[in-house]
Amino acid sequence: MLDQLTDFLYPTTVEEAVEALAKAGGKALPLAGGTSLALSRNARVEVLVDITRLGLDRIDVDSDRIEIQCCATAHGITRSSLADLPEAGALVDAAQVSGPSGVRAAMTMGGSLAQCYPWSDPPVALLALEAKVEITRKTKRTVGITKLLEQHPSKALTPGDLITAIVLPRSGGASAFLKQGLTVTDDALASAAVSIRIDQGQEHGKKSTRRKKKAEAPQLSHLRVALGGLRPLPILATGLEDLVGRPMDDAWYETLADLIRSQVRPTEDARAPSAYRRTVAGVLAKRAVQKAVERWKGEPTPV
Amino acid sequence: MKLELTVNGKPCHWDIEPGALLLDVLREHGYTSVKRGCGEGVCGACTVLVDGKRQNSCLLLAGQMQGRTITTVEGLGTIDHPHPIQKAFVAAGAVQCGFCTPGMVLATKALLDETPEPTDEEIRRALDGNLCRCTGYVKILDAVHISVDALKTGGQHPDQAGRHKAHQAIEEAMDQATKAGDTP
Repeated sequence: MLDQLTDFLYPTTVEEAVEALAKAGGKALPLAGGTSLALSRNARVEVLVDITRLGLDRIDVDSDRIEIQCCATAHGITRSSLADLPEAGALVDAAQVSGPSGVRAAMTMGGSLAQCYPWSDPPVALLALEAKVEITRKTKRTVGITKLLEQHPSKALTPGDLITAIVLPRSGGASAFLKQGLTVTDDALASAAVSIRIDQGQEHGKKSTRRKKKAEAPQLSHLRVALGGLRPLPILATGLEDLVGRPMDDAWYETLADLIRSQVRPTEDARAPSAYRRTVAGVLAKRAVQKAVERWKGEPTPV
Repeated sequence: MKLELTVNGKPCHWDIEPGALLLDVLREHGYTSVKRGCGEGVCGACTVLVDGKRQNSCLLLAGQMQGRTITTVEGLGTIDHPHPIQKAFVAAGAVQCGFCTPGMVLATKALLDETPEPTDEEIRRALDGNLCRCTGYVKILDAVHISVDALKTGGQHPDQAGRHKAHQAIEEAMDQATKAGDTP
């Protein structure tokens, strides 16, 4: 319960919204889906600035970038044109399992990133996808996701800041996200998002070359792995450079899983011991790469 | 604070506490089809439609509803003239204790408004935020299928379609049980 809450504001432009947030200082928060705020006990909040009337729920795919506005919901992501883009697969996968259907209908991408719980799924996908986060105050600034997640985003955002959009570069590759929970939509005990580009010295995207590629063990020209559910914030896996450019046989996948397991020290709690999360993280990373490869080849990849 | 919204087509002007949850405010104003289940967005018993989209009213502050349009099951149909989806739930026997039913019906409405002919997978995903502890979900999935057929034919004869599908399902289940030697 927000005991100190006295007022709601309903701005209709971004300028009005950021001005209202700045004016109230630390006593105001932006409110979109409300999935985490409604039940919070934040005693500092006196004003809530409803940002759902700013028209910021578009998802635009251009030739060089994908722009996801802050109020695009998880449900909206799964129904958008991103669902047909292999490179955006990780975010679509994450949106599809980000809580039960009622939560996915409300949860926004900006809110998920700003709140960034240890089990939040979209931030893990955004980290793998090298998202750039557009933050609006009086002026706009752009912060890389890796930088933003060095600390909890709420600390990086000062009162008056509003995440207005998330921009993904067009990679021409493929990505995928997988998580382990007690059910499909349960909070992640561990999760992995991967973004890959496959290089076989051939032009990517033509169906004829894709068919040819299926028979061969592909090699990657880019591999980025993000892990969630293990620590308070998503983790970017490191030391994977040696895997790039090598044939992706069984040994390759085992090496990946070993590298992941060797670098994570997951939190332990009543839901799962640290060792379990570490083992699962390795398996999920491996399977997520397999899923991304299948997606790149144009094969169906059920969640 | 003053809240102006439309509930089931009726303009409402309510005085609310700024921190009040939509779920509580709706129930206090007599919309008791909206149930408090888990209170944390997992069970879907508190589902309402906000501007036609499903939402968990336990995770919404009433203040977010300024100027919005809300639909609860009370606004969907009446006992004398139930909505085709409500008829489909009856026809399929998709109701036991009934606590989850308003949420199930509204979640189905939101799904079919957006996707008139969903796949089984789409139905399961759309209802994965609505828990039922009685039926085991089979009848509920039947009810959604019957709703699809009923809405396609303009709401005609869901009862007959329901009986047909429900009987078919029972016969198939009995056949399988007999084959497995698992007769009662």
